[in-house]
Amino acid sequence: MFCHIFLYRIKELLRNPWHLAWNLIFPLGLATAFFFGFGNLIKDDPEQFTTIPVGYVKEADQPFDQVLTALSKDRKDPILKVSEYKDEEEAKKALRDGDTKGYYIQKGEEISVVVGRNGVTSTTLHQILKEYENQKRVLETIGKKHPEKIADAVKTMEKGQEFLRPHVFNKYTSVYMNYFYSLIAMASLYGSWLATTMLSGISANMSERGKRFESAPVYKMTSLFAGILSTVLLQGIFNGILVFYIQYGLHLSFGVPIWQVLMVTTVGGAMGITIGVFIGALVKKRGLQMAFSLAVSMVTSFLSGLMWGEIRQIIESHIPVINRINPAAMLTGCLYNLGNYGLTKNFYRDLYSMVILTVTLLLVSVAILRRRNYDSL
Amino acid sequence: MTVFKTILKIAKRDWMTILVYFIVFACFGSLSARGNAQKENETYQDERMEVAVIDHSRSTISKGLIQSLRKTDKVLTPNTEDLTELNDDVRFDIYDYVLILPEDFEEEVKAGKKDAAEYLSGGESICGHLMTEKIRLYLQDVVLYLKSGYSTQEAVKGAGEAILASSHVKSEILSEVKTGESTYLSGIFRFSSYALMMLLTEVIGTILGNIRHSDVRRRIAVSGTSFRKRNIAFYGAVLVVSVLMTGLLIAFVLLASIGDPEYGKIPYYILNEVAIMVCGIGIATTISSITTDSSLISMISNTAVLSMSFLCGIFVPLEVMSQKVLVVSHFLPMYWFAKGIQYINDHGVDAVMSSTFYSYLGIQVLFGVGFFMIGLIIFKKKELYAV
Amino acid sequence: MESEIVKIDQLVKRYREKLAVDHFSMEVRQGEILGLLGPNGSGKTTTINCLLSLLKYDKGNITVFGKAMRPDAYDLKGQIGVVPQNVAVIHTLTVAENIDFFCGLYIRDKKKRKQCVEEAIEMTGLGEYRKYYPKKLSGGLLRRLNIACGIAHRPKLIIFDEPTVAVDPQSRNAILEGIREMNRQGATIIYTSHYMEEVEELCSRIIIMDRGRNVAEGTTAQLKASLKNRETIRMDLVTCTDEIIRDLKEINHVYEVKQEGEQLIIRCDGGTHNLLHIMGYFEEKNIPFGRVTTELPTLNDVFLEITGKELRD
Repeated sequence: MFCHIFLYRIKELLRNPWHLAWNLIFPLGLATAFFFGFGNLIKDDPEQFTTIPVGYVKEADQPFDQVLTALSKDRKDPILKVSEYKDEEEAKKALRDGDTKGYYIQKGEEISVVVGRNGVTSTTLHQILKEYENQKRVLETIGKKHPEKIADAVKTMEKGQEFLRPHVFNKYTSVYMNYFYSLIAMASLYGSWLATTMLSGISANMSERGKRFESAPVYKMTSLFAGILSTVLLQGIFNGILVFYIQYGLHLSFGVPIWQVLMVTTVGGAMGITIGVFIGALVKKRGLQMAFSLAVSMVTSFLSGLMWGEIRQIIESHIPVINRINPAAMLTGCLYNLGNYGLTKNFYRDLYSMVILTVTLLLVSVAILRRRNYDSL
Repeated sequence: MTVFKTILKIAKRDWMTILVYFIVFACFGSLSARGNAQKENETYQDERMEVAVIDHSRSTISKGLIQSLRKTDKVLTPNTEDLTELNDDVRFDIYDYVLILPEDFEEEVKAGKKDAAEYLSGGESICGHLMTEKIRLYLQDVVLYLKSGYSTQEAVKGAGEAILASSHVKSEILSEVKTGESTYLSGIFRFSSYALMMLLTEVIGTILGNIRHSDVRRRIAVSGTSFRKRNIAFYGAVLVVSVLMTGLLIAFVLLASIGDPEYGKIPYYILNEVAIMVCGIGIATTISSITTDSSLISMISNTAVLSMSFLCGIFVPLEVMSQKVLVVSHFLPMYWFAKGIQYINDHGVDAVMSSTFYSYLGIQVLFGVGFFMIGLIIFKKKELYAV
Repeated sequence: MESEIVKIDQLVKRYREKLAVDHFSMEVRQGEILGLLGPNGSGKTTTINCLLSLLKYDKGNITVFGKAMRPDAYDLKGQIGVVPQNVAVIHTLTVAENIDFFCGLYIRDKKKRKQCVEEAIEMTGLGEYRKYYPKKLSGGLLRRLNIACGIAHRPKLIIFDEPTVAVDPQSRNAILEGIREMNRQGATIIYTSHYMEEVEELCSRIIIMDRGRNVAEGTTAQLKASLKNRETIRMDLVTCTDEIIRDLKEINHVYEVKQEGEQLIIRCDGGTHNLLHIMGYFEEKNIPFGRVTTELPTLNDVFLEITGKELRD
């Protein structure tokens, strides 16, 4: 009986064009749109430091020239790409046309910087000039009080001593992959529609075939679990196809062995299914079930970063409890931690949270549905 | 009941859809617009970064460093010392930089160690580079003073003074350069296109789908009202519903942005909004000519609008998208809406009305008319071939 | 004495303020086709749903095959087949798959199930449509599929809840013939409808329901015999005088004579050859008359007499 119901449920749901569209094709389409929208950001991080094109208008040779040379030529990764201009008008034109981000201009002893807009790049150009002035001042101060130490000081400056080391984590995936993690979360939560369709087929108060089904000698729990297993399997397959498409179709790596990603997405799919079962157990009207499922999916997915990537972390900083109960955030967090830090405590926290939520919703739904008798149909 | 009233009644039944998308727009659109808004400045200002500092050292040098940083940046003490959480905060722009000063920081600095402290900056970012350089400069100054025979206190004081003195370096902004900082108004109107397109394609698509259902259509066709009157009433009602939904979104923006410095540009944003409304009606017509099933209409609407939003600069800025994709985006109506938004944002109140702006509006309206005609043609062909 | 397959005793079901079933009792004997006749909203479907333990009820007892019917009485449910009022099939499964699926809820043995499915397809005439999806079927074929899904497992008790609604006459006849065949093969049938012609034609015994109550019970002949009016004769008469009406009332078995426009309506409470006697009178008196029709009482007349309204009201 279990196998009979299980196999027919798979057939029934797999042939439903609506579910194929929402649970499989729509996420694939959206993944493709994401890829075209910001796939290049994943491959070439726009936050990455790149050489700053800058202009230079000088009247005469200055020590500052050496600073610019040191920053542009005498190193492996130049900070600046310096273009010299005859006069300020040329430099202004280059800035207006976007050929440079700013220009240094020498007027007598003074050097100033002109930029197009405020921002980190402009501040960097400003900082270079500040550093030049700073070094001059320090040397002057030392020279006044301890002139014998000047040579050492110059040597130390020329060496360019480093004091800081970046903390490196073993793994790294682009922060823009978070959109794809949110998409997988949303697709998993769409599994709630599979569940509500399955439930309507076995509940007398939801459909005519449900009435026929409940008139038959079938144990309620057998039909429920067979239905749940079939939907979990289907949603797991849909999620798997999406994962494979992202990794091998769009060539965006999750950064970990794919079986780990599939494990997480399968748990996520099961979570989406049990959310649907829970909604179906509480809400009788089909239209309302769909509306609740959509609302839950969209709101939780948005709060996990579907349209605004930073929001999950903003919530984590200010009201972390929301991320602890948001199923989409759990799944997104799980995939994010997996790809960036590996099997850490945060990963397990999110994974176990998904499992606990799934089991809890399942138990509550079973308790509601098990001895359900209808007052009206 | 007249055709006009019927359309309004059908639209009223979709109140849940309208409410959901309005809430999405009001909450999320507003949030992300506020989060991404930048202030335009006419004078040069150093970018103030948010730096989280964990100071285990509490030494003279560490305190001096933090004090120096406070003069140019916003220094915060984070709630956590977990490195992964701090790294996430940096990667998702909660902080720009995290500095971790260990207990033996002062000793390590004096010893000239390269790893006296650790930092997190989200990879090789420009913010990280700048911040690292600032800190390196300060510590280098301290070391120079120390090596020159100054005491620790004197070295810290001297380094602080040198940093302060060098801040008087002259920097200017060239005013003729287009800045393009995104304002709150441009952000929220940009997001509104997603909400509006979803509303129009779903609600109008459902209305048209209902009316175009074969039995309903036949019943209407044999009524006593003339074809011309029926269609005027019908499309008039569709227009009224569209205007009402557009008006609802605009009303929210008007209320939410009272006092905004860019308030004077609102009429232009509204014009742009009306243009995309026309486009939305056209797309809804096309979708409803393909299918009358409300679930399918919803599916097609979501796929089309969400995809367009990502490809046309609504959720992802146009500047960061690849050129190849932008070529394709030119053929999508929301791209021209986004260009319109950008144009209004980048120009002064008196400089918006130009041939360029008119062309953006015109292209959107043309798209709308085009989609409308396509929808009518498909519908007619389906009738002809009894599909 | 025929054994009782189903016994419903003083069933009461209330939907908030509305009393849908009001102390309703009925018995279904083995091998019979029991008709449950009543207008829309009389409580037929509610009674059936209570019988199947799909609905909670407020009072009463229901036994099937001698045992109390409960939601977990799977042994009893296994012997019941249901053909619900609305088509209850899965639209993404083919005809054959639908029948196989629902049959499989009753019969686990694959070989036996396969045989049952084939027989059901043949019985309902769906052989050439086995690979069709329900949305491709006409209304009549859909109803046949609905029936096939309910009877494939060869139940001992079959409940048909208005199975011929919106069905074309050809399909309707096929359905009714199929029901007779199932009965001949040993199934006991409960047939609910608001079409009196079907119930008269098909059912060996009829219960008439109104407002949740059993208002009449018996065979067709018994129910009609309970009526005063046994024959209604209608005559087109150009002129009708009080004398004619008085004279007609003198004829044996004529108990009512009424004039409605140009038509004379004569009701008789029994007897045979009433029309002969009446026409003999007109011939004798040389009174010209037009078209003449004679009607025997229907179940609608039974319902009208008991409740004061038509079955189709």
